[in-house]
Amino acid sequence: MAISHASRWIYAVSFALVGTGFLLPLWPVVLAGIALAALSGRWISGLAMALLVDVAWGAPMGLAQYLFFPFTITALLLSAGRLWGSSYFYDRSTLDTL
Amino acid sequence: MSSNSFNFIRKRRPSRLPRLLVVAAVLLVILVVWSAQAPLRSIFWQLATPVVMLRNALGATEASSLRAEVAQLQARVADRDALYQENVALKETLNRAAGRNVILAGILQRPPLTPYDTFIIDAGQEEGVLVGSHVSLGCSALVGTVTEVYKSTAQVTLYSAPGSAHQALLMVGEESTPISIEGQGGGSLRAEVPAGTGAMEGDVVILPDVGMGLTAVVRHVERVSSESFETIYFSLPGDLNARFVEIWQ
Repeated sequence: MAISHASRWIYAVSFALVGTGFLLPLWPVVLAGIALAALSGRWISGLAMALLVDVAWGAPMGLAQYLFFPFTITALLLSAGRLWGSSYFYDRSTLDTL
Repeated sequence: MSSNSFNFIRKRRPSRLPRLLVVAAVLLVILVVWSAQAPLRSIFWQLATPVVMLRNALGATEASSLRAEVAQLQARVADRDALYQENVALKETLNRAAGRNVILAGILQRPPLTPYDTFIIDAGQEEGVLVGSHVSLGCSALVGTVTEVYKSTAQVTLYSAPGSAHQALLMVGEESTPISIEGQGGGSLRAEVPAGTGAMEGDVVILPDVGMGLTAVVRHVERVSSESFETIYFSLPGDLNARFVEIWQ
């Protein structure tokens, strides 16, 4: 199945954000990349990038250590939010005309 | 006519099974990745290290290098302070007093206003300065001795004064070698030691005093393969442009 133009851009930008945030390192930029992928419906790529970052950086310190894999959890929550939102907000009105 | 006059097209509810399968697969993948995170992390960093090192090389600036050097020096100072405290405690345990009376004095004149490698300081008889007292630029870095005392000033002759010679210990690793260091002027000293001593840049020379002050730092070692001696060049520790000195009584 051919990837649409918009999808290509979203994949590229989200990957670039995650890569840049990893190299800087600046975790909000990583989070932005994952959020872009998850909220735009490309949840598999968002989840994959989040898993990769969690494997690389490990669990955070302090109280946040009980999150174990914070980026993956964030990707899952955002993907679930996208799914829930699509039931109520997205594509509710069709473009068809009578 | 079809018996079914009214064909009710039942909208079948989409099955939830595919969604549940997807969720289960995702959770399974996460579980597998997390249980094997250690080897995966090792593989990841093996692959990512060249990229991160390239990023570090591109991002290195003089400011960042200097900050790193400052941090390293601060760590060494902290280590030195801890060792100094341990040294003092050990000496007290062995019933050898390691404390000393220290007089702080300002430097009034320094080379080249004074003859080579002498300071004039603003502390003298009135402040209790005595001839022969050791002079430090701070901490344990000794640089000379008081050679003349006046009413309110004194003259300090540095160990590097031309023509002066001192007995000291060259510290190479954990070994100490007694040497005689000679002043060459300008904060520089030299010594000749048997070949094979193993001295390297950065090694230190200390005075075999109770305070074990740091006197000089190796800057260059001249070795000639056919010679049985090697020449070591030292410099005094610290900055000779300092504003204050400590006189150890």
